[in-house]
This record gives sequence, structure tokens and C-alpha cells, in this order.
Amino acid sequence: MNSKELYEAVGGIDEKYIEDADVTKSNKEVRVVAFAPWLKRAMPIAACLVVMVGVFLGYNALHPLNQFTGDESGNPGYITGDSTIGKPSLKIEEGVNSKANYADPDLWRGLATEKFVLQEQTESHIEANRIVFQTLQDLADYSDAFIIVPNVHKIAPDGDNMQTAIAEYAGTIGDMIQTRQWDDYTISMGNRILIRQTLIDGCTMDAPNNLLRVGGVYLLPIRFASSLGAYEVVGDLDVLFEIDAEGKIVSHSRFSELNKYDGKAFSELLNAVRAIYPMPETEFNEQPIDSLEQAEIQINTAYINSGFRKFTAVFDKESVIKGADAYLFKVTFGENGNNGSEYGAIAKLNGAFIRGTIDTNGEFQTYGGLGGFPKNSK
Amino acid sequence: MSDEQIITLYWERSESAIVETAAVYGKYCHKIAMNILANNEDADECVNDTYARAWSAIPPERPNKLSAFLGRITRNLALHVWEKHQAEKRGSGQFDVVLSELGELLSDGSSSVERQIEAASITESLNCFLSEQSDVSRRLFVRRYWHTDRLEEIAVDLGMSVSKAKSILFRMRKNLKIHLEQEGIIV
Repeated sequence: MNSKELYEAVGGIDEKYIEDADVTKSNKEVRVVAFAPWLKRAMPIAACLVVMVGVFLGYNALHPLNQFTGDESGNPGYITGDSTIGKPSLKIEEGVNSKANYADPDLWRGLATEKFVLQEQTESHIEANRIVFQTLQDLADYSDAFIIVPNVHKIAPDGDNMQTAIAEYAGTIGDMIQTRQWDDYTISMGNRILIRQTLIDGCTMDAPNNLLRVGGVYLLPIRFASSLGAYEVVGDLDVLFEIDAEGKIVSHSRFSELNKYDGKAFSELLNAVRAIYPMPETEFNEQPIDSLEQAEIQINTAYINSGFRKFTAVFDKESVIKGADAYLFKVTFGENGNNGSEYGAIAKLNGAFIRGTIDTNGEFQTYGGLGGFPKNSK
Repeated sequence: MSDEQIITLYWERSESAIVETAAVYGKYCHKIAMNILANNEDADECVNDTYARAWSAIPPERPNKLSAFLGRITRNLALHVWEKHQAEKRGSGQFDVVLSELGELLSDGSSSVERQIEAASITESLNCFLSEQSDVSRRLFVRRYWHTDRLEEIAVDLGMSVSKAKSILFRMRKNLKIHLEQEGIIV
């Protein structure tokens, strides 16, 4: 008998027990309790943070993407305890990892690491049926994006053999990470995301073979997991790219296509991952649009130029926005919109476009964004 | 609308039976499916299939408790979908954890003798085991391993800490293992 057969057998228990247990059920939304208790207590602070980070995001919008946008003052800040989310530590505070060197990942230094192989750590019953990630392409296919992580902050145990971490990232390869709220919780904003992970067998919260460690430097393929209300690291039973104290890659993988980067500089791995995704073929220029096909090209160019790599644009209908003829479209990020979605409109007059949303009446509402709407259309 | 009234609608072959079932038990079934599949669309599909199965089964069935009847159908359907998904990708979060917990009390291998044990006798043994448990322990067990609810959620509903819930479940799994061994179901 295996665990699934036992689970099936549990399904046949006397219905009086089911009815009895039903009575204990509250009407609380599952997703509310899906978060760590410490995070729940941090809700009021998180609300304040939303306002603060909103200003922060405004700054980001004016600067090139994939650039570290952390603390300008140099104050390393901190994340404390279970109930306070403060300004994130930059990890790269002094010396070799000073902010001046932040632009060059090859100068980053991580934690001392054991060169264990993930596969040898696990004894899970679910292994036999899972996807095995053997190449960078495997990881890219299943992920929303790779995030380049110079630091991991607060890690908390969260029951069910889970851990929760806040990863600070210096850039993304793949899709950019959308600001994501879930109820009152902030899951991703600015340059931080919430990650929840199932610990693998034999790993403890702070052991050298833990999946994520505070202060660690990683390249993480991530995917939003609605069941967790957070991002999860993809392929964590097959590979974990981390940078050791010498600044060299350790993959912890048994697969040759992944462990061939072991001992090499971070940039070599980053370049290999970047090569998977399409790069902009042309610069984005506003130009007249006289067909839907041209509009699609224009939109793809705009998004790719803006740092997105994994998205699908679907055109909805022609409309008049602010007095200009335009095509409306919806862009979904990640697999089946897993990484979020947004609406936009592109003007026939000159190909400029603007991001927006669809309100409760089904009308397109602008909120600014990637491109500016034609000035002469107002 | 009461269970009896809804079941009457089924027996009258009134299509409003489905509507009323959805209104009363739609969320209940959806949650059971979500706990296993962790995917909204798949869960929706399971719930819709549940209605179709209920429509086919009633009559001749006349369930005593509609929630358990529908929940059981949903659970089985979701499990079936999960099996299909397992062939394609890594599991579904919460459900994998539950399976992993249950796997702790089983031996690594499974003999042909074990496989010949009828599911019904295992269930009978489980019922016997549950009847010997305290109300709180039994509710905890059913919420965790029948509904596949999250530990945090169960702990809140039962007024205990997560660690206490985990501790009770841990002891129950150990006791269940002994119970199943004594019954000759696992060796």
C-alpha cells in the first residue's frame, strides 16, 4: 500500500465522521490562513509599506529596468522578528560587495556552501512522478522568470515543513515580476518577492544544505504558486544555483547540463540563461499602424524592449481612446497568465501605446505605463 | 434549502437540483478540489463533474448527508485529475504534503499481499481506529486527511496552535501505523 492508496481509503470513512468534522469548518477564506502567522501580524505594517513602496515604484519607472533599485542612502536596514518588515538589508554593504560593485555579479560573494547534490538529499515518495529539470531550458519553460538574488532575508518556518523567505532581486530574466497583492498581503513589490518552499528531506531551516539561506546569493527560477500565495523555486529537487564565498557557482545538481557551471563565474550562467530568451530585434519607435499585424509587432517590440521575455499579447477590439483610434489588447505573463496580466491600447495614429485596466463596466481605463499616448490625440 | 428538499428535486429530475446544489455545496466541493489540485480551473471542472455524477446517481441513491456524498465524489474526481497531472509535472503543494505525511506510516515497498487487501477492509479498519479517538483528534484527522485542509486553518477552527495540531497528528499517525499493522494491513 502506498500513501495515495491510504488516502483513497480515508475517502471511504464513515460519513458521520465527515459530517462531524464539517461542523468545525469556519467560513474563512483558505488563502487568508495560507500565510504564515508572523506575516498576518505584519499586515498593518505591510499596508504602510504599500504606500512607501508606491513612491519607490514611481522612482523605478523612471529608470532602466533590470537595475538594482534598492536603498539609496547606503543604510543597510534590516528585517526584524516576526512582526516587522523593515527596509531590506542590501547584503552587499561593504568591501567587495559594496554597492559600487553591485553592477558586476562576478564580484558578489555568497555564503560558504557544501557541495551536496540535491537528489541525494531527498527520499520523497513523490519523486517518481514529478518533472525532472535537467537543463536551463527545462527550468525556463516552467518558470515565470529567473531572478538574480544578491540576498535572501527573513526566513521563517511555516508549518507543514514549509519555509517562508523574502528574496531581494537585482534583476529578472524572463518576465518581470508584477506587483502582486493577495488580500491584504504583498507578495511581490519593488525588488522583493515572497517565496515559500517545501523543505526537502534532510534539510533544516539553517543548515548548510537548506534551499535558501539568509545572506545567500542565488539565481532562482521562480513561478507564482496560487496554492501557496507566494512564489516557489522551480526545480528545487534538481538544481539550486548559488554563489559560494569565493564567488563561484555551485549548482547542487547531478545533471551535466546544469553542473557544468560549477566553479565558474556568475556572469557565465547569467549569459547562458539570457540566451534562452529573445532579445529585442529593433528599437521601439512610435510609428503609424495600418494593420493589426503591425500593431502586434509594435506591442511585442515594446514589451521586449521593456524587459519582458515571456508573455502573450491578444488583441481584443478596436476602440477610441482619448479621441484616437486604437486597438485594445491584453497581455498575459507566464504560462496561462500565471505571472499576471494587464490591458493596453495602441494608437493607429503613431503606434504609441499605453497600459491600463478594464473597469467594472468593461471600459478601458488608463493608468500610465510603458508608452505615452500620442499628445495630439487628446 | 435543506438536503431533503434538494434530493427531492433530484428525484423529480428537476434541473434546479443542480442550481440548488451549487448554491449550498458549491464552495464546499470547490474547496475540497482546490485542496488537492491547487488550480482554480481544474477545481471548477471537478465541481461541475460532481454535479453531473450526482445527477446520474440520484435516483436511485438517496444520500443521508448530501455534503459527505458530494464531497466524496469531488474528492475522488480531484484525485483522478491529480493522478493525471502527476504524470506531467510536480505535485500540487498541500496535497503532496498530506500524502507525504501519510507515507510516513507506510513501509517503503509494497508487497503483493498488501496490494490484495481490499480497500473496503482498510476503510473499515480506519473507521474502527477513528471510533477509538477523542472527538478533537478525530476531527483533526478527518479535516487533514479527508478534506485535505491546511494545518493552520484546522488549528484555528479547533482552537489550538499549529504545533499542537501537528503533534496530535504525529501521534495519530504512529498509532494508526500500529493499528494497521495489528490488523495485518501493513507489514
